[in-house]
Amino acid sequence: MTLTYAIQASELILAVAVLMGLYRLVRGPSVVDRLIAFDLIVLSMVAFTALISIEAGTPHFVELILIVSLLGFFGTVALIKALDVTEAGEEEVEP
Amino acid sequence: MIAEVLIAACLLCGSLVILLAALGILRLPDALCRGHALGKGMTFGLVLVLLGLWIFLGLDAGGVKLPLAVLFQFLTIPIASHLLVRLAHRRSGRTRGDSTISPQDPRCGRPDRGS
Repeated sequence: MTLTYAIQASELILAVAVLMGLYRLVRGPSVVDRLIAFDLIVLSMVAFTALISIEAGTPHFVELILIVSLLGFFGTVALIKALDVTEAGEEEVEP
Repeated sequence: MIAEVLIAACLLCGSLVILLAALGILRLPDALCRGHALGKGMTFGLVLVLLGLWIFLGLDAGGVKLPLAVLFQFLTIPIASHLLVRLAHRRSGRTRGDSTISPQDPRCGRPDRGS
């Protein structure tokens, strides 16, 4: 009984955190703020998957946790590298 | 009963730390500060939530994959946060506060030459 209430309260808290990340994703002044908000939302989804796994009582969601966190990490690193390369291209035009 | 209370405490503490990280991302003034809030808060909160899942599943069902997931969070979130903050510092073009390292300093890493 305690666990059910705790899981529901944690899901509510994570939903509020995702909403804050969505606000920053929409109104971020720069690209880096949007990337930070994207990382926050992906990792909140990972935590949400862990909560759903406890709620369902199965260990089958552990692979999903690994896959989603891996996708978020590679997405973030790929976007950062893409922004780096475009900046280097702009710099190489200068000299 | 004790395990249930322990799992509930882990989940609630992890979710509250994640909420704290989201609050920092929402309220802090700069991209550098937001990256700081993301790096610390998300690592700690997510590892607490995964620890609650590990206590719930037990050692036989959780197996090797769940400690691997925890180790993976410890490895990847600080790396991603470091890359984000380095990109923010390089793009900002100014120094903040008493920071004496300019973005053009080679200690901040050179941008890739697109090789």
